[in-house]
Amino acid sequence: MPVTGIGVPVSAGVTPSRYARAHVVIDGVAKTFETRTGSVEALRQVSLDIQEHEFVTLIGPSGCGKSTLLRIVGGLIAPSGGRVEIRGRSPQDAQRTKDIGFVFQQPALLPWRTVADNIELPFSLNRGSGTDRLCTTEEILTLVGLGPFARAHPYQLSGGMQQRVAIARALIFDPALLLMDEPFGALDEITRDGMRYELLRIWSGSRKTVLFVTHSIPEAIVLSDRVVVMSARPGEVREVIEIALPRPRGMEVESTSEFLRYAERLRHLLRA
Amino acid sequence: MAGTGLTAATRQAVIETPLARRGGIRTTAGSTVRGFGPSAFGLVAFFVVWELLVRVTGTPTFVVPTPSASFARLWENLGSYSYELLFTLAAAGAGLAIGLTIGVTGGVIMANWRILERSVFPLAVILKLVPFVAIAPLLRIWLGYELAPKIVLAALITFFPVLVNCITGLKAADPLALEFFHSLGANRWEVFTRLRWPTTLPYLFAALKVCVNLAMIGAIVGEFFGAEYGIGKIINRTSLSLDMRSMFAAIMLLALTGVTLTILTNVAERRVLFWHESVRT
Repeated sequence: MPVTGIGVPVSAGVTPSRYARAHVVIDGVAKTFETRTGSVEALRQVSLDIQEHEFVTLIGPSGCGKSTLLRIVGGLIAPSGGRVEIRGRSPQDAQRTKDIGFVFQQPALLPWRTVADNIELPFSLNRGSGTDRLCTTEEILTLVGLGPFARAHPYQLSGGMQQRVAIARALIFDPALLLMDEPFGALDEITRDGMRYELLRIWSGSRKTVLFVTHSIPEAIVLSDRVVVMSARPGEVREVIEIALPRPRGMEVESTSEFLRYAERLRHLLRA
Repeated sequence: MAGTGLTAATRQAVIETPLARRGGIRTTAGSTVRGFGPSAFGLVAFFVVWELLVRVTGTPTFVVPTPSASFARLWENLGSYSYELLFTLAAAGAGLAIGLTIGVTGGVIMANWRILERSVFPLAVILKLVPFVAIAPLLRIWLGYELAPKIVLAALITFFPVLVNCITGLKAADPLALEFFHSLGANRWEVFTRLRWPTTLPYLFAALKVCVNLAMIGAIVGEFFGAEYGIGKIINRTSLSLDMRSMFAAIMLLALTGVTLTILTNVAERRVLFWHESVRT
């Protein structure tokens, strides 16, 4: 099986200290959902190491268990087998110390709170533990390009702007790991193209460790250090591709021949 | 540095979206004002036709009085009727307060503990299924002729819609928002106060709108079965003496009260739920 060792060229040859060094360790994670009509195997033996400051993308056909894997890493679902460690601790412990920042396909903002109060929300949860701050609310609003909207309510913002608020909300408490589940999936194509580079700009400021789920090949290439291609149900790691495009990456990267080669490669893997 | 990375199109959207929304609100307000015209016309036309019908057909006053005569009677008796109305309002208000308290408390408990929902909720349904008018005479015997039986009646009718909507609302929290809360290790209390309760408010206001009028009905029915004070007592008494003018005057006062209460509830809803679709659209 091509699964073992999961082509992590970075850590190849340092197997004994691998777990100690990796920021996030996903080790043999499996998930089977029990439904009334029988059991569905969503994930089979997925292993993956993520280094600190690394941007890793999961890509694969619908129903390959990408979102499930993300939720297992975030401690929202328990795996049927295997384990996940974030900085050497369980996802539940990471939740307790506010080390996980989630961004979902929908912004999931609280409509009764202003933009600023939505971003401040993490500090009022979990009895206020983990009060580290990346920066002030004003600064993060400026970072995501919503400076003048601190006192606006979510319904006054467009979908793209709401999603920026959700990103700001996941960054403000300085989590060790950012989990993004198709954050631009609900946006229109034009907004989505722009958001890709917005995210890149925001990310390059903090260089958080990111695990990102997407359906979009260009999105995966532009954003990632590594792209993990998953196979359809049951989800398995088919291949891990390192994206060697130099950073910072701008919109022009999408017309380079390297980009097109990566895209062709990914398209081929996803079709196979 | 504001907006440095924004494309021109995004910036345009940033500027225009709230303005467009505000424009939307203005349009809504405008249409409400325009909406007053037709409804006022309909109301006036209704009274004019009524007045004419009574006069043209020569209907005797002890069957149907003219609206003008009824208004005149209301004006004459405004002081004493308002005094009686205060008792009705007090009973309805207290009953509604109790109904809300029981409904919300029960809702919170049942939404949190499945077992209690399964064991207590059917009881609430049965209690609700008994026609409350049937209990009114019983309550009068048990509780007397003052406020108590009317309050209990109003509470009995109002608690159920509140309970049902409260349970529904508490379970309606956005699943993704819930996941976000859990990913931060939020405890149950935090999830309740910061997510579930605000989500429930629109449901509670929907119940409140119905219950404000239900509470009045409960109080008035209670008064029909014997009460020392109350507008229901007036209606009952005038019906016995066939004093139709006074009876219609009392009914009109109740209609006015109903309209006022509904408007007040709607104003409160708009203030509290400014963020909710039901208010914005």
